Amino acid sequence: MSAELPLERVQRWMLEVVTQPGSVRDALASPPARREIERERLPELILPSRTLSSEQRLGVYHDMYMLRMVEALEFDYPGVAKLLGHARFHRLVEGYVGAFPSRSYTLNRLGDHLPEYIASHGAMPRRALLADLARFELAITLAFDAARSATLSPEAILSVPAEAWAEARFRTIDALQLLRVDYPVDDYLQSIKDGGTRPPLRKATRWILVFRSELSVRRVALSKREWTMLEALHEGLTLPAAVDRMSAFRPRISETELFTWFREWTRMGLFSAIELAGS
Amino acid sequence: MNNRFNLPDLGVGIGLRTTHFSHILGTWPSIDWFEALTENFLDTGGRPAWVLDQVAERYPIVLHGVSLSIGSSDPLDTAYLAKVRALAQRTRAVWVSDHLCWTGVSGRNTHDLLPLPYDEQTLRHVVARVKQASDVLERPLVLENPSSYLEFASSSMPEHEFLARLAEESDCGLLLDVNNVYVSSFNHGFDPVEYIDAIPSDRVVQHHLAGHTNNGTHIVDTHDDFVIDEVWALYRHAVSRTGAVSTLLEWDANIPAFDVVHAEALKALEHRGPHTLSGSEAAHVR
Repeated sequence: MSAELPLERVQRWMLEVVTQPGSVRDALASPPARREIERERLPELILPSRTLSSEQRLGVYHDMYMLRMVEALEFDYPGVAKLLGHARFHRLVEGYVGAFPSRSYTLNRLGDHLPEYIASHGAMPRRALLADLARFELAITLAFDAARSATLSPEAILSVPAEAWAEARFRTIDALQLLRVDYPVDDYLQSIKDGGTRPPLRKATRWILVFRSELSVRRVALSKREWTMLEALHEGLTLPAAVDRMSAFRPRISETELFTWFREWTRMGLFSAIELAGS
Repeated sequence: MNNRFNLPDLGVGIGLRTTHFSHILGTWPSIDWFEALTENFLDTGGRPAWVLDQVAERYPIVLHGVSLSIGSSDPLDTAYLAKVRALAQRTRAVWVSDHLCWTGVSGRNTHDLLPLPYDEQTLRHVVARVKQASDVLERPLVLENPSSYLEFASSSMPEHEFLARLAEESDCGLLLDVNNVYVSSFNHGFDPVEYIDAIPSDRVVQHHLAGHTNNGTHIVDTHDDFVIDEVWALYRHAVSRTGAVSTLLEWDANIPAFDVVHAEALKALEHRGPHTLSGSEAAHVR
């Protein structure tokens, strides 16, 4: 074999066979696999054992692949998996890993594109709800894995000279995610965690903050006003520009409200630094 | 020290698993060492990284990878290797291991330990890559014999010969997984004792033990059960050749309480017989 088939080609063929959905027989007959090596050549490639044919031996790897993908994504997306049920989640994973196969050394990044895949998957029932839930679960994973950041102390904020605030930008910690969802996916996920009754999944817009504090990921539902201000800072706007973005809100944002938010955000450790002009 | 790399016998350890984090942090159990799955601790700044740092302060750590893909025809991922090196330095890992396998090609990763054809072409390919990986890691790479479920018709030598030649020609260390020898011997019909006898014992720096699932027609290396008697017998034989070598029990699915896993690992001490860890050697690596 080696003289005729270089290692690279054998590996490309085996990768296609192992990762195709369906049975191993279907996989051997699939166009991507046949482009590398025709299925009729299987006996030339893989020896049978005392108990298994060449096809069955290859099938051990083939069958384990999709189980591993389902298990990994079920770990990162327990809410999506629960909502869909095992069979439909399995089909979702088959389609997803076909479109977005792992290209990383870690399975932690396998699910990074699942929300966008669900959102663009026309045939899926309750697609908007599932996409929101997937975005929320991805935000939790990203906050969990994010790099550690130093957190800004209240003293550091108080030490900023008054004239510097016009150009001041708050830098948020890496482990912070903000998302607006159209369904109460936070309540739903909590009900799964608690083993409680599933809340009604009717449309209801939520503004959610996900962040890691110490070693735990926390989820907090914010008001639209607070969320909008925090998002503006998270985007890197200066403090005056962020306040400007709030101009459409009625009643207008007050200094007291702003002060309360900043005190709470600082207490939660959401900022890593203040960037001042020229710093 | 029984190996040519002067790597110490760490005694008997178990894998560092999420499900045991609370127990370990709460009790700091009396255990010789931990093996951490490399990829679980790369690119994360959360709890796993913090726990690993805490554990590394108190116990010897060995890093065990599953995504090096040393046999792949893709170029070696040197950025990945640089991250492994940094993690090894941060945790003062006593050594870094991975598997004789490939995990993907064309930039895609199956996250499985896929088998290689054992022929001259593959040997040349893997030898060069082991040398390259060792250079980036700035230490000898340690490679484990995998469990496998198929054999390539093009193989021109048995796995043990390939592994022995690879070790000699690339100057790498070996992690002899006794359970994997048993699993593959069942699946491929070879003599596991002959396999162990062919492995250059002075290159073996670690043994792995684990449970598996026997499906009748073939065995799958599931790491989800106690070690069977036949594997303990092979372990005794392996130790009779290698002498005292760091031993680790892997338990990765249906993981029971820490004490159950540790008790199973500690059975290795009975099977090692006189080849036990000296107190001074254990203290030396901390």
